[in-house]
Amino acid sequence: MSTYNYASFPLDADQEDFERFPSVLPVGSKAPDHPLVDAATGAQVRLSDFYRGGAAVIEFGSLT
Amino acid sequence: MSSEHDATFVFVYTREAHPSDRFPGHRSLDQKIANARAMVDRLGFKRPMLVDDLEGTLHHGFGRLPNMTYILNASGTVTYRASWTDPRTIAVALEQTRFERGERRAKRRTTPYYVEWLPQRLNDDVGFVSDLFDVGGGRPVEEFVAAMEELEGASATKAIREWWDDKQKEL
Repeated sequence: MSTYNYASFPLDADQEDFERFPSVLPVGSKAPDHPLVDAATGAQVRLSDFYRGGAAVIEFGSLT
Repeated sequence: MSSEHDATFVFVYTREAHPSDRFPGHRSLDQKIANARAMVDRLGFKRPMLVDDLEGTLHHGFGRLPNMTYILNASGTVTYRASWTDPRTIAVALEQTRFERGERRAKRRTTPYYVEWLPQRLNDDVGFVSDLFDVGGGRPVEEFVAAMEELEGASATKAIREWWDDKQKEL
């Protein structure tokens, strides 16, 4: 099992990711556009489907 | 605020940030999609819920933080990015987007410039662990407290510990 989907909340609480964040995907760069699943329909979609008509606000998260 | 008309809002589902027995770390994409649907139902989401692959490919590409928000323009260029989702700065960014759209429509020339910003957000730790307990029970709360104490020391968790001690007396 990869460490991405951890079973317990890690003691370091993503510290390194927070420190790295300013240099990952800076403003002005093109966002990645990997396929995603629309939870309502099961269809494959991409972020480009949503920003094509104008700006898109992308929030990341999970239930817990 | 008419922010709903300024941009399309979507939510991208990542790994389970605080796994619990009820909502464990994902073992399959189906399980991830089920958790995402549970979130839509519990919180009454109206916007599209988009689920990243099991390995978190998109999440990694954007920086892998648990609660980021990005704003992309019509070309897919990043124009706003935040390490935390805070409606206050998102509202400011959308007001700016409205201004820019107005200038474009009026055919006035605009030029990009660069800003960095370090805003403060309200940190309601007790509210957070209370919600986390309601969703996932005691284990994710204990793990979160342990991580906070590891990073910031016991003084940082005083209020949470008081809440947790009272809660455990109720149970």
